[in-house]
Amino acid sequence: MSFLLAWIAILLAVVAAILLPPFLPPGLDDWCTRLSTLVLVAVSWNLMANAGLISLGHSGFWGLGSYTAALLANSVYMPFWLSIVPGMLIGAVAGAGLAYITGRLRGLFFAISTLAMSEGLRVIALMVPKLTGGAEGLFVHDALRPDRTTLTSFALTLSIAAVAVSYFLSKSRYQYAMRAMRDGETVVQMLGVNPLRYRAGVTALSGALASCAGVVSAWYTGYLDPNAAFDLKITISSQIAPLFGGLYTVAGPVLGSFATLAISELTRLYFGYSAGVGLLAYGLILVFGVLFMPTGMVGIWRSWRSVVGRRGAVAVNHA
Amino acid sequence: MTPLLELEKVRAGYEDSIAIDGVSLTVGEGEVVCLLGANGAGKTTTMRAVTGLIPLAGGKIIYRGRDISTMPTHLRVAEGICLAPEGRQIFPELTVLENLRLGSFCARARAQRNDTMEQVFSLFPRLKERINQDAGSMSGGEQQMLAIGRALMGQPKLLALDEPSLGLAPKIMMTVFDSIRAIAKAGITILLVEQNTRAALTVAQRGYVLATGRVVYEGSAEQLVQSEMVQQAFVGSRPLGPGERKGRRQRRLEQADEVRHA
Repeated sequence: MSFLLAWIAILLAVVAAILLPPFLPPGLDDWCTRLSTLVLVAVSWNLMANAGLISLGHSGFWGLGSYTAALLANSVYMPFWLSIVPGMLIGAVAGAGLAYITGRLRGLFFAISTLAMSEGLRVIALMVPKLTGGAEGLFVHDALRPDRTTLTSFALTLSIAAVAVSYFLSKSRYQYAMRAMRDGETVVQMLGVNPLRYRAGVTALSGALASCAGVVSAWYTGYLDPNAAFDLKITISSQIAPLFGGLYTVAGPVLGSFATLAISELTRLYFGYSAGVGLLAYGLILVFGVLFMPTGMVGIWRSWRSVVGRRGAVAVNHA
Repeated sequence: MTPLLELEKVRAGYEDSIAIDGVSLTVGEGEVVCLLGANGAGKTTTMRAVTGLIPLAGGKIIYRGRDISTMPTHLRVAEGICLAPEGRQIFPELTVLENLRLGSFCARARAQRNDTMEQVFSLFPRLKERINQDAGSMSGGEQQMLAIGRALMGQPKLLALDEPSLGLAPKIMMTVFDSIRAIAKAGITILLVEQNTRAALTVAQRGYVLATGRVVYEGSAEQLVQSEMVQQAFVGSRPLGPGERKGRRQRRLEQADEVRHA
């Protein structure tokens, strides 16, 4: 029953994502695309965090997706919609590879190796200018670029799909295996779970989703250079959104993406008169958000609802 | 009696230090065997070697006639070696039901999940009452029941129990041991690691005494109770022979012991 409702909600969201963009004002469709890519990386990062894998390397997946799309477009004229497939595939392979290479590394050590992967990829992209254009960057074949509304529809649909995947995953028995892995892999092993398989599975899925965001972003901006494609800011915003919205939850990364984007826009609008003040305000709000809402927006919603629920129960008792 | 599990001169440990060195033991089908010993004797290490949580530095582990020395833990679970670990290690934020479901993760156990769960509930009615409660909010005894129940959900042929009495009040501990007896009666082979020698010997048919990583004594439960060495080392006083009278110091010690175990 709840699955039926979920499917209906997903379907409605996809229909809206496909039909609405042509009617959006120009500023807003830009916003929607940025929101979609942020939701994709935030969901992706949250998936790995949920299994106890803290990534500092999501910009690596993003960049891999971006370059895959751009290079395939420029060499074999692969259209936008098709480039999503190899883009996500590369991300999945990189993710699974990361799981196998890092082996038993956990916590801080795992986080550092993901950072190293992302930085390593950036340096590689700089060092093979024949392929990537090096520091000068490269332009995506312009004739192949879809118009903005198409791209927005695609981006929104993909982010809805990502949220749907994380929702169904959270309702499956795999969720428990992931959840258990967060507490320690010894215990999971004793329950008959092959930890390596699940770790590789979750990093592959996470990598694919983050790469997908990179693909969208490459087509959207039409230009790539290693420092932008493997920008650490991507990693950071992919963490802040779930932290702000509610770590380990399905809704958290989505709410957090909305909130962080909205806050960044508002601070830019209101403090835009001098450079840096807007960023400072944005940073402060995020710091305080993370400090004072450790359970994120989802946590606040839950505690608020339980307070209201209790009050309701008391009222019933009195009546 | 056919052996279900055999350890042949097993060596294992951590980093450079070998915690068990040449441990050989046999667990027969349907038997309850306990491993006794003081702190640091190698009991838990032996358990970890049996479940595959640490690699062997030497020796062999044979389970149902097959060498499983290098088999990874999750496959041993699929083969029916399930562990209720030391310190329980349940998932405190998950409900009792979710914890139990996690116990039947492997395909073989999942197929009969509902039947097994009924059995677990009939063994531990307390868990059924608390089915939707967060596991972390339960008492220590209930958590231990959950840990054992979770291991049972994996449909073990060999149930490995590591220190089930750890941190439990004596009364609760007795309930837990009653359940272990009931599990044994149902025909499940049990390998029990226990510091509480008295309690362990009320359940086990045979036992091994470990000291500094070696088996120093083995025998039936009766032999272990009678044995001078085990007496002195772990159980407390030796039963009085005919015509013997306890000394004052001995009486005092026993009183203190009774308070501790009451």
